[in-house]
Amino acid sequence: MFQKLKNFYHKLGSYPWFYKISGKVIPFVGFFSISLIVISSIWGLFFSPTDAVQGDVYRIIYFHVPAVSVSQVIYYSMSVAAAVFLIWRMKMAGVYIKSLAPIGAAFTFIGLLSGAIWGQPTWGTWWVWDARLTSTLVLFLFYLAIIGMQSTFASRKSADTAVSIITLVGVVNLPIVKKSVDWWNTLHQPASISISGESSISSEMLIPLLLSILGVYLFVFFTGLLFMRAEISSREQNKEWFKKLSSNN
Amino acid sequence: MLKTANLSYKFDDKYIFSNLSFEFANDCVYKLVGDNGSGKSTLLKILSGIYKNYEGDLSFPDDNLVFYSGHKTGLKNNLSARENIYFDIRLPEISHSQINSVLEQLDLVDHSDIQSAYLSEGQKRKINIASFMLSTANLYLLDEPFNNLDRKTTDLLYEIFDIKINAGAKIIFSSHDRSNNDFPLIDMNLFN
Amino acid sequence: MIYFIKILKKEFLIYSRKSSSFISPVVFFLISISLYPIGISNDPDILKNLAPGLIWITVLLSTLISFQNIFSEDYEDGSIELLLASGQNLSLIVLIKIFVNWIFSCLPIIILSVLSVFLIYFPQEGLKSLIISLLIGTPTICLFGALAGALSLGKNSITGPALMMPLSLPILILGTQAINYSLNGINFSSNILLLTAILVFLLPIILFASVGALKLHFN
Repeated sequence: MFQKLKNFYHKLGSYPWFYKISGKVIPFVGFFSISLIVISSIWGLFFSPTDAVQGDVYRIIYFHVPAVSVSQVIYYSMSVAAAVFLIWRMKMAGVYIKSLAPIGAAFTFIGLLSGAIWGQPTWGTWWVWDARLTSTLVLFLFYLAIIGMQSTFASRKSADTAVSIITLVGVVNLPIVKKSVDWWNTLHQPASISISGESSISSEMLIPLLLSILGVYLFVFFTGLLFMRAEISSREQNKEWFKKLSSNN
Repeated sequence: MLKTANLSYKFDDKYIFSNLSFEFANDCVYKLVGDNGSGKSTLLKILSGIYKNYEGDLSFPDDNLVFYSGHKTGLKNNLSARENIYFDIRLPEISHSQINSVLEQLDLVDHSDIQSAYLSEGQKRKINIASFMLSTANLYLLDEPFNNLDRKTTDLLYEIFDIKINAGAKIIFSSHDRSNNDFPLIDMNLFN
Repeated sequence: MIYFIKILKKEFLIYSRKSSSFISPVVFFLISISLYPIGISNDPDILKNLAPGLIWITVLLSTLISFQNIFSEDYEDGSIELLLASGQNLSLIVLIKIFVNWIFSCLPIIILSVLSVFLIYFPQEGLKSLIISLLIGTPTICLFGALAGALSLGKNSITGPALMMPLSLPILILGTQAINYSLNGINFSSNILLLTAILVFLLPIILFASVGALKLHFN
């Protein structure tokens, strides 16, 4: 079992293997993710029941919840990749971080935007400086920092190292920001509005929500593979295996 | 003795040079030649300790004291020539009288109190040469020291080379100019 | 030792010649402080409540401007290569650079922040907490700035500002809160202690990280 895992890890670190496999997987993942997103959107927007309290506004949940959850998951996966890069110097981890950062930034932005649009009619405000929203904003800033960092180093390896360090700084910093804002709110001026409190959700609403979450995760998987392939081909364009591959096609 | 064994340097996945094995004798001047991008500056930076990510072995003599002078002059624009030399981090213990004598030799006295921002490229080079003259190191790594120099200073620089060599130091410098074969050559093109 | 004293003297000389290094933060601070009453309100009661936050944010922004460039000139003129070649303790040199930069770009503003008593009606009894919190909080922010500067090294990048906001947010909260506590007659020493602890804890880590970031550019 352990040996198998180790083999898989080594394979994952190999550009040609990844390039070959991802090429086969991409069409299926792309097809499933986009159809799931279309189905769950139509279901969620037109067929799921109207919420008793919020009315039709709640339907933005089908965009907001998947975006916010995937933006956090992407960041945590990037920090795992950062640790892998710093400890084992696996180049693929650098490719992973560079490719996923713009996707994560985009979904964080969608999450913030949809949250604001949802918040205005429901809670009467676009934005609250509470811990959750502030830390999402900080998450967005860390994505921007990671994207900006890519171009400041001449050497690819140096850039990947610096980016990995920033990613890990972010993982440490995010909870600190969350805690300190929380603390500031409770000690200083208790928040008048708090956007929290999970309400129970009926199964007719839950199924399209789960479908949309699944669709967005698959979509991130799909775009992640595409971006990683593009990144690998730009890094390896002068390599033997890559030339051979592209001359075959 | 300064010795390299199978020294290679890789930038990302591309080798700048590889398998450089060489022994640098004492009391000698070596001239690094090679095409643009053949790794002349890179080798000097590795020997000076700026680049540490090399492959292969590098051994220094026990009493190694390096003086490095690169493409960039390291001069502060708002310090004068005199201050730049006095505060040169390669010359921790230098006195003003020593600086004066060197400035005289280089005809820099008249310009020695002007902020370096107002000096020409050649004059800035000369300030670096002043630091070179004052240094008591035993390994000198100079990246294209003859660039932007007038005839007189060029001759002076050759004289200083002799003085340094006679004092037991070794000098490695890079140059574009292959014509003047007065020093043992190290051709970086051979290691690409 | 002579070596480090010489570097300290050199940095002092460079900064004292470069008048923009200490005048522009001061001018920035004075302009902002005098614009607040005009832009927000000239009602002393409103300004009094906002003053702690306004002063802290203004100091934070002016250090943000000056600290991103702490290493860029050394990079352009090749001084960093010479430092790396010297084989000396780089952390100590970076510490000297941060210290001198702090003296020239932060200390004048901290002293001038006393003026906020007149300009934005900051209550006099809070001055002690204001000065102490700034004296202890700003070095930490300078450390963050040095790290951001070492990472981006003079190249214009969004990384610096994007990193500075989340990193300095807890410092800002602790600092303004200390002032608010003292204005309400609550003991603010715990906040100051926490700020000191953060500074002492982060100092070696960030020095180490900045040196590492500088070296990454020469790899």
